[in-house]
Amino acid sequence: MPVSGLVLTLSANGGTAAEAISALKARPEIECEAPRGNKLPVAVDTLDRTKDQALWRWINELPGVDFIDVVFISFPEDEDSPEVAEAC
Amino acid sequence: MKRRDFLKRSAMAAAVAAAGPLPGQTTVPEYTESAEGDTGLEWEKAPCRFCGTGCHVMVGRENGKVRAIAGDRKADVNKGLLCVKGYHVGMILYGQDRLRYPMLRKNGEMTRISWDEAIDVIADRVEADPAAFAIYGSGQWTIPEGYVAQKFMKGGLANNHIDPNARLCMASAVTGFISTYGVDEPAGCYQDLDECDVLIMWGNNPAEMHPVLFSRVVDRRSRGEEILMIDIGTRRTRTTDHCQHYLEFKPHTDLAIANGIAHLLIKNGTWDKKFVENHCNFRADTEKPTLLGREITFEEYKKLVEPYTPEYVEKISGVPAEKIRLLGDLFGQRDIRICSLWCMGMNQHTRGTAINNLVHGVHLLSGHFGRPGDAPTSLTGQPSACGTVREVGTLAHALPGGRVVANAEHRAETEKLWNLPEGRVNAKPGYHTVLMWEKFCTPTEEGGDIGTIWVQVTNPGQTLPNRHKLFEAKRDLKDKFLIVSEVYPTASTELADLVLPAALWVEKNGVYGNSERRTQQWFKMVEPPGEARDDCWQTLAVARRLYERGFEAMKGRDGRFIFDIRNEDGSEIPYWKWEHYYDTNVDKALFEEYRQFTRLKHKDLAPYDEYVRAHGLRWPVVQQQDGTWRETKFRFSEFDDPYVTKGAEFEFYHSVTKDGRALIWFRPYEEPPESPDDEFPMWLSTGRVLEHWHTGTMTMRVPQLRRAMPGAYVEMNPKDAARQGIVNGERILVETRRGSMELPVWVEGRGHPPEGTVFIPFFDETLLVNDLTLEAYDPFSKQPDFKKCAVRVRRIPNEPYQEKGLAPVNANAPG
Amino acid sequence: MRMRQVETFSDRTKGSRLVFIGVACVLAASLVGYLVGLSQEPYVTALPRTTTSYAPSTVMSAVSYSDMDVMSAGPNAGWKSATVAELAGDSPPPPVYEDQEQLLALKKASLAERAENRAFNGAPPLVPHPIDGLMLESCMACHGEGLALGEVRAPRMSHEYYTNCVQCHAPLGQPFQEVGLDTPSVFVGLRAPLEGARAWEGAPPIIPHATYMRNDCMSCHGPAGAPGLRTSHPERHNCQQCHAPSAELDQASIGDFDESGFMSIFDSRNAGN
Repeated sequence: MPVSGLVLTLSANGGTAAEAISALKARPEIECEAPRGNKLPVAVDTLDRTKDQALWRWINELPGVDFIDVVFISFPEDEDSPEVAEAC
Repeated sequence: MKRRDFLKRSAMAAAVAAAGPLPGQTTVPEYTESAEGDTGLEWEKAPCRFCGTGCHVMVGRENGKVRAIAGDRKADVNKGLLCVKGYHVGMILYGQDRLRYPMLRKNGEMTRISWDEAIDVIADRVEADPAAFAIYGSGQWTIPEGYVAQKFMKGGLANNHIDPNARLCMASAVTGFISTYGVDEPAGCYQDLDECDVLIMWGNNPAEMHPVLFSRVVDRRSRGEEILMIDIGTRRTRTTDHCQHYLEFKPHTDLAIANGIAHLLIKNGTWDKKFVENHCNFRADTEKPTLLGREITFEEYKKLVEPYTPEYVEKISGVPAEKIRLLGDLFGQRDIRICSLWCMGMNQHTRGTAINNLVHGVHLLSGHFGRPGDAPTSLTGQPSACGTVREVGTLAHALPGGRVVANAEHRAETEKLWNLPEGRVNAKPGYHTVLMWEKFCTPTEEGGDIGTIWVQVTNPGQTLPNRHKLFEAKRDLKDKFLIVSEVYPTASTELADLVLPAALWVEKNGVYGNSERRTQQWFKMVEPPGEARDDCWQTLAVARRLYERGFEAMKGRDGRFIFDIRNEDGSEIPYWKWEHYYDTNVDKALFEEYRQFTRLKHKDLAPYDEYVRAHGLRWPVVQQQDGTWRETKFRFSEFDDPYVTKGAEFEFYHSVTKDGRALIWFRPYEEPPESPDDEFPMWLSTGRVLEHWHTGTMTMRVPQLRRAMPGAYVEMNPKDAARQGIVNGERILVETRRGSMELPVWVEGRGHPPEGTVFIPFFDETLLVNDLTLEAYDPFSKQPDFKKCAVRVRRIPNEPYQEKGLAPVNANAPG
Repeated sequence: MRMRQVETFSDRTKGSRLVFIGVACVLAASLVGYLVGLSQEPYVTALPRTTTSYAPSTVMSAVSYSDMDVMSAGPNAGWKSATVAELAGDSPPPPVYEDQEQLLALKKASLAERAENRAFNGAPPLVPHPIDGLMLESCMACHGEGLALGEVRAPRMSHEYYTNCVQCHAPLGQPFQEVGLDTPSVFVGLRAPLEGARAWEGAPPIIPHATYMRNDCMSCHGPAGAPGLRTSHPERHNCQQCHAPSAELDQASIGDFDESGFMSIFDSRNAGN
């Protein structure tokens, strides 16, 4: 249900930062834009708040990500969630 | 689009925006080569275009354009240093929207016309009703420009309706000097700042307004010198940060403080008996106060200041009694040197003349006068407020060289020097600024007998007080005609019927006179843009057109043109034709003519060429036996002023009482014309900021200055803001009885007003604070009080900044 | 690459400005969203809402964690622009340039960047970062000796000590209204020369600018100077032994001293008199 926009501050270590980007790209809930310096803009779309929180924790612990800034968040009603939309 | 996709896009857009631009998207500046660098420029001296300090700059130009500015190390005023405005002064010529062509309002539309047509339009207005024609100028006129306008009006049209914006700026200083010493302008000079032990600033913020002079004092501290600095003010400023004492007084009560010092000097017996006995007389108001009052004895004076005990002064002013005692003790010490500085705080005051008298009085009574470092010094805000307004006398009542129209002898001398028929100069003073604009904004049939005003080198649309009444009202009066000579579009050109593009600063020759009696000359260095032309030429061309039409007022005694300039062989120079204007140095010819006026009041000027050589000279400039010219630093002091009788030590040789003595005045504290009340519970004060000068017409077009100070704001005390829940940056409604406006709030910003006071700078032409100010003025100087009136502030419902808020106040407070 | 050191300070302010732009985007998006018929407006959290706190003016109020990211001044401003490792590390040693072409490129980049921050060559540079106007001495903390920390470089004052820094160096604007340097102007400021003239190839170049107010050569040409402008021989201390200044630019004519001991000045127009 939640949709959020995050800015991730990537680590100065180029290697782990690159690994972090691949790991992020591999998650279907996460959409990545091209990094701006050490800032990576991402959009996150998850099914419910629990999953959203879990994903947030996962990103937070991801080596190569130093900081997370939440710049946008929305909690659309359930009928707007992907499953409901697809069911229609 | 699915709503969810829309949301995701919004989320990503926010993240992208917050993350910053992609690498490579930022514009990387490119290096532009300069082959020879600084050495490729031609450098030449000029005084700065801005304030009355009168710094000299070196102007670097290349291919006919100004490309760099440096402080002039040879200049005694600034010794190589400038302020942020001075370093960028060359850029004022290059705003993109410079006025380039004469424009006439035809059927409501501004239409480009030729100069020839423009000159005809003005000549027609003059001929139609010469008695209703007025000129409004400023302390930014060069001396020759002001001199030409002065002669055009007083020697030509003879209605005396010429006044400068300096009336809004330092008229009270003039009346203060005249009623104290019998003659205008400070006795000391900037050297006082180098030698004083104590510097007292009366409602003055030189750290921002006269920064180069301020540095001259505070930089002494980094050389290990000790200076006691005292700020007597109504609001904390950058100046306060450098002061050991800050005496915060309730607006308008500075008179009580000055009287309190006099009271202590007498009570403690620390007044300078010898100085007072030899060099001073006492004065007090007549029943109906006048500029020159009545003579009183020392005993009467003593009785008049008797009530001003430190406790009584504390009650009136809010300044603790022990701080009044501190001032009394300092003035009571003869072995230290005390310099007082003031500018608009004391001058823009309905008791302006009175407070000027009192501060001079405190210095005279204590003998802190006439030794280097011991001086009551008034500063000016405009580059030639002294030179052009006070010395050339471009005021409604004055004639050049300290003369006045009311004096028959002065008129006769003027007529003789101007070669005019006897009786040409009118004895009746013209309208002073507020009255001139009031008459202009009043319908003709209701007694508004000023029909045309020609504005030169100033911006009354922004600076007049209560501008709804004194400026905007013109909009509906179809028979009134406003002519504005300007360099950029302003609040004044907006209402103009005829706009004339003017040359600016080093686009023309010029002479200025600064705050310390220093006359400074410069040459034209670059061409003005488009068809812009010198203000001096503009007035002369109109005069010539009138002369050619046979208009009697432009003819002298022998029928010659009143501005007759001839070659050595006696042939006339047709300088009124623009292409011939620079065939000769018109400035020099006019200056040499004007110079003859300057002896009467011992304000002797040297020949023009001496100023070409020097970086300014302080009058009286007296020729020595060996033919050289010597300037005077300390007037009325025997050790330096050649006009003081030998052995007199001090002599006020233009004394009101004709006995060589200065006057120590008693002027009582009186209530201000408008004070906060239930309806309008706060004080409103207005003023300037470091980065902008006057109405910002020039400085707001310098990117570096505009970036530093992009717009007006209202300064509030944090407690007042918190009480109403106002956050930094929030726009609020500021209202007085005369108008209202919306402004962003700046708490803990540039200045720090006490509770119950707000402050708004006047430089921003999009937020005209003079919609709010009061036009009440000093009865003698006719100078309005821009520094105080009653105001209220209110939040605006749903103002967007209330929601956004700002990062904590202190962290954002820039310098 | 360490080319854009000076920019780092302005990047910080850009950063905070962009956050504001971000907010504006989000607000715009939420408005559009509302109009297209979303039943619920997105909840915007981009910036913690700050209530104005009022502390005595000379004391900086403590920063709450939620505010830290948006601070544009103070000890925590821009704290994410350097990593902990970088902050802990020593300043890197000045690079030794061997590649002349690379050196020239660095120099051009540094000069161009320098030009961005002043109206013309010789104008006092603008203050590229927020400052606290109440504590002017704090300028001296970094600019007194000069420092380079990571990418951040604070040049040492090039002139003698003056008390009132903001008299000449224009600070950033007010916190609630920002304009850049885009005021329309046709002024073309003098640009810095690429190098001083040399008598022959290999001769020491003359100083192509005034040394007045720029009399501490190490401010720009020292180890903490911008890349490409640093001296190749920091071990030598007496610059003017080999590099000649310009008397005209310094407004001085040699041998002509006034009473204060200053060399008196050469006035070009009146030189002939």
